[in-house]
Amino acid sequence: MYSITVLSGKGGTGKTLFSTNLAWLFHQKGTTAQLLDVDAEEPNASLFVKFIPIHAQNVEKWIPHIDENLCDRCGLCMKECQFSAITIAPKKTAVLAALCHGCGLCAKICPQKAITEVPKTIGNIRLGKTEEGFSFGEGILNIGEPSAVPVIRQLKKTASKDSEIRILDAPPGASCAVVESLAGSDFALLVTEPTPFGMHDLRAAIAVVSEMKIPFGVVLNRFDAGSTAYVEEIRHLDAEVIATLPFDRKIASAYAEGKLILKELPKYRPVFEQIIEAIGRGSA
Amino acid sequence: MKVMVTAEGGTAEALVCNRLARAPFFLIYDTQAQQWTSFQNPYQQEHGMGARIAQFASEKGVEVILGAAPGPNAKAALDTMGIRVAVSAGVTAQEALSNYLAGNV
Repeated sequence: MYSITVLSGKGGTGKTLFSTNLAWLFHQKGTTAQLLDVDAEEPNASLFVKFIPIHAQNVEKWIPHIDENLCDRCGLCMKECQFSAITIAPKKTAVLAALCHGCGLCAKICPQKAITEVPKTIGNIRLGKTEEGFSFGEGILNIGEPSAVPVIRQLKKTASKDSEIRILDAPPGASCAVVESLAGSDFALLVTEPTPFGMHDLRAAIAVVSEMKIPFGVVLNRFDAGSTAYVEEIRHLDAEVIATLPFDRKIASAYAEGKLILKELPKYRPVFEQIIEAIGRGSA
Repeated sequence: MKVMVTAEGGTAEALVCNRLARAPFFLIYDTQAQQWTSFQNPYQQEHGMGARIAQFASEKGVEVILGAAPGPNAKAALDTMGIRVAVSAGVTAQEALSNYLAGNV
C-alpha cells in the first residue's frame, strides 16, 4: 500500500478538494484506492463522496484513577507527569483528564500502586466505502477533547491495508495531529495558495515533512496572474510545484455544493493527472 | 501568610500580568517578614502550566495568588491545593498587595 498524506499548513487551501478528487481519480483509473479523513476535529470529506459506513468503533484514552486510600501523597506522579495532568495535595488529589496524554507513566511508577488506568471515550472512527466504490474512513474527535492524535492513530491502524493507494486528508497546521497523519507516509502532497499566509504556513509544513524525510510536492491552488512570484518563492524553499489549479469561481461553486470538481468540471482532469504522475515519480 | 503576585517584571513596581500561569515573574510577599521574593516563572513555555503554578505556589507555602482569573485547568489544580486567586489587574504588584491587605479585592 502506497500512502499519500495531503496537508497544507494553512487551513482552507484545498486539502479536502485535492484528496477527494485524487481518490476518485485513482479509483476511476482502476487503482484500488482508500480515502481516510484524518482531520478528526472537523472531518468533511464525506460531504463530497457518498459514504456508506459499515463498521464503527469508539476511540478511548486511558487516564489515571487514583485510589485515595492507597495514595500516600508522595507526589512522584505529579512531578514526573510531562503534561501536569495530576495534582497531589495533602488532602486531595486531582486528575485533569484534558491534559492527560494517556501515556501510562504514572501508573507504572507509583510506589504505592495507587494508580489504575480507566478508559475515557474521546471520539470514534467509522469505516466503510463510498457509493463510487472505493474504501473510505473518517475519525471524529468528541467536542471539548484537545487532542486528535489517538483518533488518527486508531483510524490508520484499523482501516484495511488492502488498497493499492491510501490518501489521508490531514488536519491543518503543523503540530502533533499532522505528524501523526504523516507517520509512515510514502509521499506528502502540500496544498497551498498564493497568499502570504499560505506561504508562511507552507514553510512550516515543509519543515515537518523534511524532518520526517518524506518526499513531497507542492500544489498551488487558486492560481492566477499574480501567482508566478509565489512559484519562484516556493522554488527557493527547495520545493517543486507539481501542479497548479486556477482560480475559478466555477470550482468554488461546485465545491460549495459538495460536488467533485472532476465530475463537474472535467477540463481540470489534467491537473490531477499531473499530480498522479508526479507522485509516481516520487517527486522532488 | 504568603501572597503571590503574577507579574510582568521582577520587582514590586512591576505591573500585574494579564495572564496567570504564563506571567514572566512570580513575586511572593511574606507578611511576617514583610519582604518580597522574586522568582522567574520556570514554566512559562511548558505544557499545563496552569497546574504547575498550583504546585509551585503550594511548595512555597502560598495561600493567595493575585493576578488574572485562572483557566479551568489552573482552577481545578488550585482548588485541589486549596489556593485562592483574587483577581487583580491594571495595577503594580505593590498596589495589588496593598489593595488585598486592605480588604479591597
